[in-house]
Amino acid sequence: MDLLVILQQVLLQVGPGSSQGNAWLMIISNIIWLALLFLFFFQDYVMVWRYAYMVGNFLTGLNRLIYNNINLVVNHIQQLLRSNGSSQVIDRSVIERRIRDLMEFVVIEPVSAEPTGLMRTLKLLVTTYNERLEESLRALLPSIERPLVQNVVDAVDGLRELNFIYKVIMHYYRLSNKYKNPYLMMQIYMLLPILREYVNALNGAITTFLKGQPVGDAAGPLTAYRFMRNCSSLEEINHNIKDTYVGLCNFEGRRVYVVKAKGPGGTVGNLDDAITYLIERVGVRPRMIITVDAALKLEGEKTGSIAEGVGVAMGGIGVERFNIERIASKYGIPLYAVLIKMSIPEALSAMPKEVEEAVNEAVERVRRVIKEGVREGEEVILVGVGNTSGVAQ
Amino acid sequence: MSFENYYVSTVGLIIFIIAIVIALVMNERYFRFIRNTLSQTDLAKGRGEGQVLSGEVEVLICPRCGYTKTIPFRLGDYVGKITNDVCPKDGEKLVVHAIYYVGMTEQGS
Ligand SMILES: [Zn+2]
Repeated sequence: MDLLVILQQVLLQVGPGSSQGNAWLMIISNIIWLALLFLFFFQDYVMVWRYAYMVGNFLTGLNRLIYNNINLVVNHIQQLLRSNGSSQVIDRSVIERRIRDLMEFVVIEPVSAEPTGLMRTLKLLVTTYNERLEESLRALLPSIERPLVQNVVDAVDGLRELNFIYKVIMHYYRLSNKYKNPYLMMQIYMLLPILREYVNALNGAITTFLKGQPVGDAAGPLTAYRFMRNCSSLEEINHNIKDTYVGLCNFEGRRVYVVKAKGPGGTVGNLDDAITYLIERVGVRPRMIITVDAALKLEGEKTGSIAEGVGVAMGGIGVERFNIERIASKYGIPLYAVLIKMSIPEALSAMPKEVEEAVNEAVERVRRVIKEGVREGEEVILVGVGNTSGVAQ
Repeated sequence: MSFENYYVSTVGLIIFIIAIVIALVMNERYFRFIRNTLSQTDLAKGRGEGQVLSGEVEVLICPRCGYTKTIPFRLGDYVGKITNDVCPKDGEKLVVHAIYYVGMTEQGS
């Protein structure tokens, strides 16, 4: 008690004997000052508690989100089976286990120390992954139309991504606790806002895909679709490339080959194969190849603004882009790109109105580019890049 | 009790309370809550005038005369689908022209 009194006298700079009055007030003020001092010296620890708390919260939320989305997918599958009048009753837990298995599905990156043929290997892996995912879900949904199955495939792919984020963040969270290392926690904490945005986007994507609605990324295929609608004597070209549509139409005397993924099921198609087919098998000699795709906007840019440029507008791991670039450079075909800007959440969730309006503008740009750069009687390839979920041809 | 004692205690308390208030306001969640309650009144005002469809909508178009109609999104529809709806002008079947999402004015999040 003596110590406290002395401390108080020091803190408040009052002489002895003056502490008769309001004793409670003094005690409170002491506690406050001590607490402030304590916080000042231990603010690192306080911050670490806060980081751990925030990251833990994020993980709990993410876990709940994944659980809800699994339920959503399982319900959707059951509903599809029921609406199909399927006699076999599949147990809910069986479906859920299959979905959970697919969520743990891994794609092992090929060895890149010896890069010869790496692109072909990557393409093989991606194709195999997509086929495997679709086959597994087809086994669950044996007599359902293909577009509906493709939509479920895309939803499960989103779930897999969510699950992957959860596992990685949980890994570092545990590691940080295990080694009592605040810096690991701090790094995750700093990434949280970006992760949260991405997770919300994926969450929106799963719902959108299940409903079969176009996502923002469908801007490319939608541009191709609208271009074809304003084009005369449209005919489909027969080929055996999976999930890809190739149409030929006449735009003011120019022969325009329109390539897009085959809708309305969610798929990105094999656009590079289609272009290779057109050039090497059909013998098309295009004046240029125009690609239209959704592109990531920078923070300051407006959603739905359009940029034009040179090159192949195409996201993903770069396999298809590489193949198109290679065939174009082999035959000396100029590459032209039209980009529709949007953010990640907008690209993954239901297509916003701004993007829908930008598509009309993109169609106008494509027409202008064709009119300017391609003479009558010449050929040109127009490629609508992106996931064509909810957009037919 | 001396004046200084009383004075310092009161000032200390006030500083402490201000610090807590600042911490609460800076906290993202409370900040969002406060901002939402503040902007609620504006939203209510904006909604009253001119009923515009919001949420997921689709646009149907008549391929012959260009008549358009905006309706809420129906499950199973996709762009390019020929629907059973007919054009009131010439009886042509309407085609789904666009499906998009009309959100609140807020960007992102
Ligand atoms: Zn009409």
